[in-house]
Amino acid sequence: MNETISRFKRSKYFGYALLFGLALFFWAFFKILSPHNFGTSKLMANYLQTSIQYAVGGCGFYFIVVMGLFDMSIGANIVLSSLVGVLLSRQFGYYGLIFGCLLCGTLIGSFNGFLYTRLRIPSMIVTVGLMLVLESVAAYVVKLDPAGFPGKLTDPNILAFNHAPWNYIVAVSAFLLMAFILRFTKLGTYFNAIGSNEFVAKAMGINVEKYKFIGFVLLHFFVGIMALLTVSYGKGMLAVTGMESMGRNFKPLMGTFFGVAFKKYGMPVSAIVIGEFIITLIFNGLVALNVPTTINDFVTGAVLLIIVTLTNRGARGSVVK
Amino acid sequence: MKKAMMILFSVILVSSLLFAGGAGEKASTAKPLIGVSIWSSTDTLGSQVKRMLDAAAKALDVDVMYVDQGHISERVTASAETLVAAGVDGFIICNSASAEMTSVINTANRNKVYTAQFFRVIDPVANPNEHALAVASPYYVGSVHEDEVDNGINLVRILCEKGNRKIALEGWEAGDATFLLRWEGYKKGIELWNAENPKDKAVLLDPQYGGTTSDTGRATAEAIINANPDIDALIVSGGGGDTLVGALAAIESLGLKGKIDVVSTDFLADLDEQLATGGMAAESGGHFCDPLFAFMMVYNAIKGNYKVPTDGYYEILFPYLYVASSEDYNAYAKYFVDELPYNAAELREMANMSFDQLKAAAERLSIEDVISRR
Repeated sequence: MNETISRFKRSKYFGYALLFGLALFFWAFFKILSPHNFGTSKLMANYLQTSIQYAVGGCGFYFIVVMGLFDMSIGANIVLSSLVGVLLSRQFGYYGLIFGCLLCGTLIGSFNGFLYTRLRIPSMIVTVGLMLVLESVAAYVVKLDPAGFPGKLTDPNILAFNHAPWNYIVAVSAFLLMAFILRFTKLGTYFNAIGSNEFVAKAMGINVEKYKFIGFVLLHFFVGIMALLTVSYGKGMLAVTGMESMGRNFKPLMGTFFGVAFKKYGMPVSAIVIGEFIITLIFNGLVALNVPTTINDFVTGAVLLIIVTLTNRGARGSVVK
Repeated sequence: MKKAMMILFSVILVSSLLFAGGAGEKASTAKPLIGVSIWSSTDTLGSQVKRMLDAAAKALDVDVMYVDQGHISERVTASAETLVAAGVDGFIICNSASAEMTSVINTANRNKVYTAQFFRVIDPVANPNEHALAVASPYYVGSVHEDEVDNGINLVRILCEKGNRKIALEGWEAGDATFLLRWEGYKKGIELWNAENPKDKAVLLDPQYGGTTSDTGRATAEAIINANPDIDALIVSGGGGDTLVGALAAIESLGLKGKIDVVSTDFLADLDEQLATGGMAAESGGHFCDPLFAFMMVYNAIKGNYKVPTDGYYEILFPYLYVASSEDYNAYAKYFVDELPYNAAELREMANMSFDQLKAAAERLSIEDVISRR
C-alpha cells in the first residue's frame, strides 16, 4: 500500500493533481471572496488567453534554465522581433509578420548562443550586454517603419493571432513542439544531463557547447513565437532602451520555475502552461478584489516563491546552485 | 578568436566615432547643444514630441540629444548627468516624481547648464524643498505644464454628460506625478458631478496600473473589465499612448467596443477612426507642443535673451485640446498631425520672442490659432 502511494507520489498524475489542486485552490479562494466578478467560465477563457503567450516564452526558457543557464535578453528579443515582424508585415502581410518574428528571434538565439559558447563567460553577463545591443537596434528598427503609427499593427486584416482560435493554435503548436523535443529527441535528455552535472555529461561524450548553443537557439525560436503572440495581443510594440525590456523576462520565467519544479513528475510543459494560468488567475483575482497593482505584484511573487519552495526544495545539506 | 574579437572591438569603436559626428560638428561650429531627457522618444506621444523638437532644432540650427529614461527615478536623475557629461549647453526634462528635481537642479547648478521641465511643474505645497531649490537656482529656467487637475475634471464631466455612471481607471505607473494630478482631477470631477446631481451619482473605481506598453495595457484593461463587468466607461489616464492602444484592443476583443466609453489624454494616430467607430468617446491632447516651449526657454537662456531669476522661475500653463468627434479630429489632424502647428519661419520668430510673448503664444495655441497663421 505504502509502495503504491509512494509510486503515485512520484508519478505525473500526482503532479497533475497538485497543479490542478493549486489552480482549484486559488480559483475557490477568489471565487468565495468575489463571487460575481471572478472565475466564470467566460472569464476563465479570458485568463487562459492572456496567459498562453507567457507560457510559450516559459517553454523556451526551460531549455536553458534546465542547463543552469540564464538569458536576460528575452525581453529585448521580444521587442526587436516584434518590431521586425511589424515592419515586414507592411510589405508582406502575414508572411512578413510571422517570419519576421520567428526568423529574427531564432537569429538572435544563434547569435547569443555563438557569443556565449565562444566568449566563455557567464550567460548572465553575455546576455545583459546583448540586451542593451538589441534594445538599441530595436530603437533604430522602429524608425524605419514608414507607417504613421510606428510599431503598431493598425491593419485589422493582420490581427488573426490577436484572438481565438489562431492564438490558441499557435500556442498549442508551440507546446506540442516543446513536448516532442523533450520526449522524442535526445535534446531533452542531454539538456537534463548537462544541467545535472556538466562535467559528467562531457565525460559521457556529450558535446556540451553544441547543446548549449542549440538550447539558446530553441529558446529564442520560442521567444520569436511569443513575440508574434505578444505583438498581436497588444496590437503593437513599444521600443524601449536602457534595460527597460528586462521586465518582460520575468513572466515567462515564472512559468519556467513551475516547469523546473514539476520536472521530477515528468510534465514540465503542462506545468509551465498551468503555472502561467495560475499566475494570471491570481492577478485577475486580486484585481477583482480591487487590490492595487503594486500589492498584486507582491502577492504574485510571494505565492510563486511559496509554490516553488514547497514543490522543489532541496534536501537538508544539499548544494543549491 | 582573440584576433576576431579585437577586429570586432575596433569596428565598434570606429562605428561609434562615425555616429559621434554631431558632437564633432558642435566643437567646430559652436552650435548650441540642447539635451532632452524624455520617458521615451519612440512611443506615440514621445515620437510626436521628438518630431516637433527636431523641427525646432533644424529651424534654429541647434543640435539635440535625446536620452530615454522610462520615468524610472534613478534613470531620470542619471539622464541629467549623462546629458551634462555629453556637453549640452542646456537640457529640458520630463521627470517622473518631483523629488528627482533636487538631483537634476543640483546637476544643472554644478555644471552651469540651463534646465527646464516640460509636462511637469514642482508643487510648492507637496514638494517645498525642491520648489525652494528651483526658485533660487540661476540655472533652473522654469517649467511648461498642463493643468492636469482641470483636464481630469473635464474628462469626467464629458463622460458623465454622456450618461456614464460607473467609471474605471487605468493608470500607467503608481506614484507618477502627472497621474496623481490627473487622478485628483477625476476625483474632483466626480465630486462636482455628484454635488450637482445628488439623485444621479457617478462612481470612480480605484486605479489599476497597466504600464506603458500595449500588451500590459491590454492585460490590465481586460482584468479591470472582467472584475467590473458593469462599468460604463474607462479612463486610460495616459502612459504615452501604448497603454491606450492595448486597452482599446482589450475592449474590442471582449466585444464591448462602443459599449464602454473610453477617454484618455494621449492622441492616437488612428483617433479619427476610433472616434468614428465608437472606440473612443473623447480625448484630450495635442500637448506634444508643450516641450517646444520649454526648449525655447532654454534656448533663450543659453543665448542670454532670458535672464534666469534667482527668486522665481518662468512658468507656462499649456492648454489641452479636446476632441470628441470625428469632425473635431479631422481639423486637428490637418494642422497638428499632417503638418506641424509651427513652420520653420514661425519657429525662428518664436525664438526671438520675449518670455511674455512666448507665454501668450503657448496659451493661444489651438486649431483656430494655427488656421489664423496660415
